[in-house]
Amino acid sequence: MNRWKNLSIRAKLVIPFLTMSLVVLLCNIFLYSNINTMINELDSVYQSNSNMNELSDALTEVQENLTKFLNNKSSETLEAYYAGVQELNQLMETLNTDIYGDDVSMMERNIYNMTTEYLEITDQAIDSKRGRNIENYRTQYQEASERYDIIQPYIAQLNINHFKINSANYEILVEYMGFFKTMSILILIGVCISTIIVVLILTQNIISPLHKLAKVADEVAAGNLEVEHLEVQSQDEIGIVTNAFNHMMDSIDEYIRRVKVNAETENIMKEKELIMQGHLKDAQLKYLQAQINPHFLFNTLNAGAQLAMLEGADRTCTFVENMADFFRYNVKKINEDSTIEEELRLVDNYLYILNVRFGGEIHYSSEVEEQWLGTRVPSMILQPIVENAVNYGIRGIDWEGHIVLKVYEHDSYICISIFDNGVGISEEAVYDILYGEDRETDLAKNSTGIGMVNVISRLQVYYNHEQVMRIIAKGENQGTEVIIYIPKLQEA
Amino acid sequence: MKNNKNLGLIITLFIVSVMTIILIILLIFQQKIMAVSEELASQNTLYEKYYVLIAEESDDVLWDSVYAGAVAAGAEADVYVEVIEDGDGIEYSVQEKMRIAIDSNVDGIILSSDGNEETTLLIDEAVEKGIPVVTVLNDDTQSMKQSYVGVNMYSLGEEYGRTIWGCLQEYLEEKEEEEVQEVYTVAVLMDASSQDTGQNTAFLGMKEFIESTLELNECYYQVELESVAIDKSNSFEAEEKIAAMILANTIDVIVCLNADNTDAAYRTIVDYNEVGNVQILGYYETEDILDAISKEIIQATITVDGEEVGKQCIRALQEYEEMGYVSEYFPVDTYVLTTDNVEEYLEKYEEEGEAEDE
Repeated sequence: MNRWKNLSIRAKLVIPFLTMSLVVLLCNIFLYSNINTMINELDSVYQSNSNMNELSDALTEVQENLTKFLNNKSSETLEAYYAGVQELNQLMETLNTDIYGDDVSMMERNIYNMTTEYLEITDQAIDSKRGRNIENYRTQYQEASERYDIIQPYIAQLNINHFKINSANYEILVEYMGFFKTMSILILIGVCISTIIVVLILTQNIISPLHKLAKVADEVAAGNLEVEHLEVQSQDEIGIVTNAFNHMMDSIDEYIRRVKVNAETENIMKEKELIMQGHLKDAQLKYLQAQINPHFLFNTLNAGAQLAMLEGADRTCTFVENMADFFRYNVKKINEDSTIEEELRLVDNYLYILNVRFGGEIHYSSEVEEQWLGTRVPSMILQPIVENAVNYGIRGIDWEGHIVLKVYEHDSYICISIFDNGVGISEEAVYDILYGEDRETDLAKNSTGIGMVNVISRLQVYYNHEQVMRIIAKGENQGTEVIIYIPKLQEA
Repeated sequence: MKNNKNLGLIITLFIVSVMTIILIILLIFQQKIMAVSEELASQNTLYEKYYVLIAEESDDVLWDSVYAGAVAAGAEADVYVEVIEDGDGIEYSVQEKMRIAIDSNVDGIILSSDGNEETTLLIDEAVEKGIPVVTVLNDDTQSMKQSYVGVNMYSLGEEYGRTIWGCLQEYLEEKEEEEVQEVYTVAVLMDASSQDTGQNTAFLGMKEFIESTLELNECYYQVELESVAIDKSNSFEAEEKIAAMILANTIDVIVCLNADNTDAAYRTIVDYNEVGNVQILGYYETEDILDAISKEIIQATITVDGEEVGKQCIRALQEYEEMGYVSEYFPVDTYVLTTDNVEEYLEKYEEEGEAEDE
């Protein structure tokens, strides 16, 4: 059975076809040989009758020639007589001479014996005639004639008996011919029907896996990749195709799995990177913190403020207070998130300090929609931007420097806009800041150690959102606007 | 996988069964053809000797059973026994049949003689040629035949006479004294063409027995025996003559000396509604005759055991061949069948009938 399953479709079709053809061929050969036998039998059926007729004719000839010779004594008739005798003897050789238990055989034997007796008498008559013994040949001729008259009807009777048997045999043969005809038709019909059935079963066997395969392929085409493996029923061409299909499905599955794994790995990598950055920041902060004990610093500053107040130096007092607030915020908030309000206050503190330092060069104004003041944001996001605006925007300009800070609602975002009217920024620089590779270089230049890139990254991670900042370069000496977009959904 | 296995199995089984069926049909067919061929070329058993039976009336029922007996006995002795019969459209005389037998150089002849002188010569010719001849039932006393197997016709006649007397007594017992006729006529149906003396001897035996019995019993009535010659060549002669006698009211008892006449006699009696008025004594037994006896249409029949006769003939020929001489006369027993003992004979026929049916 396994061997059959492993055959190719061609072999599966050819083998049954050849087998059935062979059967048909053998049947036909068999039927033909039998029909041949029957035809031969039919041919020989009336042979015995024809033999009997010949015998009868030969006997008549002998008798006639005997009569003629006894009348005219011519050598021609004598020759004819002997020729007749010879023929008769030859024909007699075909007759049965044994004692068989059936009347036809016995009649043949009797005819043989009677004819022998008859021929003896005719020979004697011929001899007597030649010896001119009239008395003898007359009696002998009479005796011969008497016997002739008995033998002839006897042969006729045997002929009739033969004919009866032959007719019966002929009828049997004809009957069998009819039977044979019906049967050969039946056999051929049977073989044909069985061939058709076998071919139908075989083609069904071959086609049904193809149907299954097509059905599954359709399913896959419709997007269902979760199909089960097709059963491989045989190792023929269809089996091979089915196997290939199964392998293809396996490969697709494997590919999809790999793509998924890759995406996951990428995510993990990104996360890791952020964590790394966080750690770095932490390290840098710890470093900075390690340089000055902030508590000591702002306690000292507070003491300075009190001192200034006692001395009546109100401006110094305010300045030192602002400085203290600025550092405290730095120490306190670096690891927590804060509110926009707190951030704005820090900007106020910072700009106050700067204005004290640089003699009121920076004109700062803010337009804030107050309902957004409580919005939670990562800490230390505004001060670095303002610092950048001061450092790279308005420092060293010939005209009066302005910084405008706005908080307003735009679409689904709360926007914080910081505008300076400084030297402006190039598009390349904007690109570098937002998408550049060299993202950590700005770090040390800032007073808090936090650069623009750090701010962007933290905003992105915090809001899980890419578009968190826009830098608008207004053109050379036209100033720069930085807008932070905080998704409002976060608030809900 | 299972499906496929089943499918393969089904296909294999299917092909195998189709092949087997075809093979079986073909084999049956082949065998039938062979049987026909064999039948056509049949070769029968080879026998050592060949005896022929010759009788004038070879299709007589009695003759048939003699033949059957001879065949049975012959088969045991490796002898093929055959009746030389008339052909289709050819009727051989006994002499012609003898000629055929002699020229065919048979090993023995069993002859029911027709009493013809020519036949006697032919018997002598056969014997001279070394072919033993046994006469059966009808003897040819003049010839050189080796032996005679048959009934002593005179005693057969006496037997008939005795039976006629018995029947008559039975018949008269039922009659009142004034009803008794003066003369009772017995018609003896005889074969006109037969030249043998057997039936004359039988007639004589009958006549003498009845005359002596009448004398012995000092009867006041007469019994007359009348011989009626029946020509066998005329198929309905027997019926015609019996009918004529019945119409003339001239007969009381019919004696038949062969089975055919017996059949004809009882059919005529039944046709003319004379059952009981005319008594029939038959010769030999056929199922019809036995049936008629059981219905009391035929009063009695005298029979010989045909098969035994046939066997005796073969025995005689065998004995002659072995010893070179043989007893000249093999007597055959006769039996009288009447209503009293007919049943057991009928049973025998029924058994045979059943055996044939099987």
